[in-house]
Amino acid sequence: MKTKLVEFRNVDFSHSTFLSKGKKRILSNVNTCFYKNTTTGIIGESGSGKTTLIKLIAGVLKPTAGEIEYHNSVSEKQQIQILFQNNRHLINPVRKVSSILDDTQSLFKSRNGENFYSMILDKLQINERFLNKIGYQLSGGELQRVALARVLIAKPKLLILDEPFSAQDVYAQSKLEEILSFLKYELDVTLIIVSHNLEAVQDLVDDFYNLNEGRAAT
Amino acid sequence: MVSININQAAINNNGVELPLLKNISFKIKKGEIFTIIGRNGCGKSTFLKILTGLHSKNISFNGSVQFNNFELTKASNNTLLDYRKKRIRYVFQDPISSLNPLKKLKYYFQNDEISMQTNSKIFEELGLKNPQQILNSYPHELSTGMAQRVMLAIAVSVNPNLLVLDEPTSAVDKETTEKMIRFLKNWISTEDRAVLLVTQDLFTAVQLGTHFSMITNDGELKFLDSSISMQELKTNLLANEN
Repeated sequence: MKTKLVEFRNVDFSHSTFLSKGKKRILSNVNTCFYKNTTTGIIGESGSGKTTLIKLIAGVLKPTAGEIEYHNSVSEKQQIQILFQNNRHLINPVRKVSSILDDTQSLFKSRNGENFYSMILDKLQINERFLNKIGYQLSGGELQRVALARVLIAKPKLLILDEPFSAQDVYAQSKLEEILSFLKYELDVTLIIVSHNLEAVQDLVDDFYNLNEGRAAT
Repeated sequence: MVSININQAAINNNGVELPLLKNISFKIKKGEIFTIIGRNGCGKSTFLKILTGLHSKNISFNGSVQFNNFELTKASNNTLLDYRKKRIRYVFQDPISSLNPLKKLKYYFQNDEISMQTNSKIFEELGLKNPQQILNSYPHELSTGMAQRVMLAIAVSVNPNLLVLDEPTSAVDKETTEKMIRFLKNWISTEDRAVLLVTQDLFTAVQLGTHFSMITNDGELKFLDSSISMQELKTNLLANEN
């Protein structure tokens, strides 16, 4: 029997900001469950609410109706990590990569150890030259690698990746596929992957969730 | 239309000059889609910024960028701004941060009746449903894939001569990518227009490009065959490993 990690019950989400007049419904009546050790691929047209769905899973956004239940202590601090599609705003442009990653490591060193940190840097091919780069010098693909290193250092139970293959060259894409396989099969990390590049993830994904204009599509 | 000749470019890192690009020389003529591929961090986006005068102060280079025989590297900031507004439109890799978060998207488009009809047609061709609703949205209300297409629509709405596209299809699915490719091929077929494309998406590169090149890890431009296949592009990229 599958072990539940995150369960959505009748979840709605609407945008409402001080700038917008009225509410804009993004997700409507979402009922689904994400299971431990099951890699889920979230697919759907551009603008169908994929990124909103994963922000709700990670607790970055709260549902406007319905409820999200977390099982197996997955909601505990830092057990859910999210790799955003756009990482430029999350990496300090005036700090060295080594300083950014050392900060993250200092939070998790006692839990995960020094070897785990070295292994992640090794897996992501973050070498001495890369560590000496400064935030603003990083290309789109390199920024994504630093952001991925940061979330992996936390050794999450559930890792959500939003379009991880975009802006990556073919070499980096195949490396990322290897890393995701490693996380899934060696570290037992549950993965949720949002990607329009289904070919890249089809071998990894056990289950698909298809969104169509904010609803589950059949 | 555009003649580029960058002898060398370097980045200054705390007083140390690190070489970035060298011997980049090519021309883009009317009707051409000049496509550049390259590994992550090889300097593709930096090159586009040098070309459009948007490079940061710690980047130095020598060479020339001529647009219709006008030397852009010696132009004043105001002249460059004017060129970027009307003649050379740059669609950035990170579309949402290029937009003012406090302005609705209609702010970026002409709102007379004829322009609105043209814009609606562009939106439709790019697979953007409900143009009116999108125009009345703020940037944060768009997904990244929608924002990429809106940025492209904003860029073509001023009828530029050169479109500079940095990863324009990185956040859209294959069906939408095909719509964008059809749109761009159609767009370039009329008037005095050309495209400079930087992409990691080899499908977009092969389907859209008329000329191909790769920036190597040493920062040099290597020209590739104009009838290159996706597999050959991939082979070239992988052979360029450090």
